[in-house]
Amino acid sequence: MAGYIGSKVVKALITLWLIFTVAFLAARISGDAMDFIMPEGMNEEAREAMTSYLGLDKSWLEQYWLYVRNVFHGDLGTSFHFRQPVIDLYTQRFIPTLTLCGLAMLLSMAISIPLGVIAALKKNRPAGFLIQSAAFLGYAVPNFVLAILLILVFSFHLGWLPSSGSDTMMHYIMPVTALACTLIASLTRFSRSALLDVLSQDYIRTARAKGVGNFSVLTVHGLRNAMITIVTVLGLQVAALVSGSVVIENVFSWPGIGELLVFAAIKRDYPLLQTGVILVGTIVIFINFIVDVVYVLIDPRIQPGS
Amino acid sequence: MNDHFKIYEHSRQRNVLDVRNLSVAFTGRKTKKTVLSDVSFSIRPGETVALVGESGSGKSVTALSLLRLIERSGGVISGATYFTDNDGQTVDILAQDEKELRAIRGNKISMIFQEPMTSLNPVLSVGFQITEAILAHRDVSAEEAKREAIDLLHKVEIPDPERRFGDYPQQFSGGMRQRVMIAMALACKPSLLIADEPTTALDVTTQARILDIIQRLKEEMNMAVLFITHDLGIVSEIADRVMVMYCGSIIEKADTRNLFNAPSHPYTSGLILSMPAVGSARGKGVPLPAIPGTVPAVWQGARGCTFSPRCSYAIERCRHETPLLQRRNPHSFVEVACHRAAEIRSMLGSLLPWVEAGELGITA
Ligand SMILES: Nc1ncnc2c1ncn2[C@@H]1O[C@H](COP(=O)(O)OP(=O)(O)OP(=O)(O)O)[C@@H](O)[C@H]1O
Ligand SMILES: [Mg+2]
Repeated sequence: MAGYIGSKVVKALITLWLIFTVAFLAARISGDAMDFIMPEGMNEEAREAMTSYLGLDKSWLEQYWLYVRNVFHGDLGTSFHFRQPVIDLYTQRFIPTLTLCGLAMLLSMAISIPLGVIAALKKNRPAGFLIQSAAFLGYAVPNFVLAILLILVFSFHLGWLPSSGSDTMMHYIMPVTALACTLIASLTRFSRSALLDVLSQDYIRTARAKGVGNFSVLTVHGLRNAMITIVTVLGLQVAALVSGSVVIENVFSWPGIGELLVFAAIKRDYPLLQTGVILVGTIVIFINFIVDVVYVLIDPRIQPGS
Repeated sequence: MNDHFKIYEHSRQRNVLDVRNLSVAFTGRKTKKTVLSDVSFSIRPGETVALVGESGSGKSVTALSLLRLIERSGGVISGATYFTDNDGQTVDILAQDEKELRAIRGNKISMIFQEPMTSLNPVLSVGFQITEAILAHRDVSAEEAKREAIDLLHKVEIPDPERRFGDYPQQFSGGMRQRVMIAMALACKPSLLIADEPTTALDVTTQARILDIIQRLKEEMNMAVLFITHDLGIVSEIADRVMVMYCGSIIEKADTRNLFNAPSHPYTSGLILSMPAVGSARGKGVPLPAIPGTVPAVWQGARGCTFSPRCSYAIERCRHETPLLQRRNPHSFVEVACHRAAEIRSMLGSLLPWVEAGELGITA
């Protein structure tokens, strides 16, 4: 088990390093930070002084090397814009993003697995057809469109829910729903097909031939096996969910990483951007790790470490 | 004389199973496909009856419809299936509701399947799957069920059952899995075991071991067995009586010795003559009289005998009039569905020489 976790950690670090490198290059290729830092019409001397103060006069390779070295010393840099260590800017924001994504995931599973089960059991009946169609629709609507629709209806028209911030439980309802929608839709469809597939297997017939009741056949024999597929799909969708959260956080002014990340990208605040990308990557890897652990727990054929 | 006495004794006991006019059709959106038509047979307590036939003839569908396991996949069953348990209670399985059915399945009638590799649930330990069968029907504690399950694993000759109890199906070989299936099926000492080609997927030595185990436990528990196979060698070893199925109908019923000794239906003789043992007994250079042609894919709606397109004895009547399963003659217990059975038998003569040569593994 220790070896299993060890190799997971090594893989995670390599992934993070690759993500970071891409972010480092993308930020610099897409524009010059100095254009956003210096007010227009500043004299050349001041601009050069600022450039060398921020270390931007050095070659990209040199900047890269310096940044990586600092990261290993625990220093993620100072934001060009806020003039504060980026780590301080993000610490407050890590938990809200993790909460948003985690709740969206739990909500998706809580809704889509029962819906998928009903859709599978009511195959070729109105209820099953309705769920299938709803799932298709949910899959077709982009997250941010749904987010704006929710704000229009529940904040502006009805005035029931706050449209920004994260202070109370009420603040969670719309962002979590908007973020979870696509995942609910796709997981419903996958749960349905996974369960239909499992229910047609020989071992289900064996269980029925033993005189096991319908409910046990469905849960003990059916769902347990279907969960293997469902969890696999969930693992594949985590990255999409977390990147979706960046958009949702901005629509709802959610004080998470995504909101700051978009700001950093617009302002070409390199240290802020690079750190944000690493953090988002960490969240994806962390949730994926939990998914892997769950996977090992459900499927005895997976031996950790092999 | 002796034989007749035995048959008389049997007839005084209630049959475990009395199947009357069992028909099965699969209905799609627009299609209706008849797979079994008017199958009738009975099984006496403690008896082993073999059901033989080519692939696709409807053997598995027969087995599954006895426990009503095909309704979920669109099978519509009609007829009647009277089951009498060891206490003498008779019920029509086809008239039972879900709950009553559940009390029969795995408890009074058990089934083992053809594919040991896929018939066990891969995410549950074999111990769990056996205890589940016990706990589904009997009011015993979990520890008691576990003890019984280990005992059953002993009985089916799985080495070191205490340790293997918690193992998963993929940690067992095909033969070992089939033993687990048998242990599971016999957990509640059923009156009837339906074995659907339990050894087809196994190699010859494993096959023999599994057959031995089934035979031994059958005698120990005094249960009846409906043994489905397409291997006539196995039939000659274990069956008291044989039913031959072709295209969803039973075309011949006889006791085992009679069937091998003097088959009545041309299809049955074809099957026996194409057995390798018989083939070699006929001498080298004599071609196997393998039955020409293949089982028709769709046979419903066709008039006449379903075997007539492949039958070298077919006459005009065979193509128009469906032969019914009837006693060969008033004194015989052999039933056959062939217009020309009597003539053909005298033409073919007896297969007795090969039986006497011991080539079929049965004694005349
Ligand atoms: N669920 C189903 N839906 C439609 N047709 C079916 C279904 N199950 C079986 N059949 C059909 O019923 C016929 C008999 O099949 P069955 O499985 O009983 O054959 P079998 O005698 O057991 O053959 P084998 O020796 O290959 O096991 C076949 O034509 C098959 O296609
Ligand atoms: Mg079969």
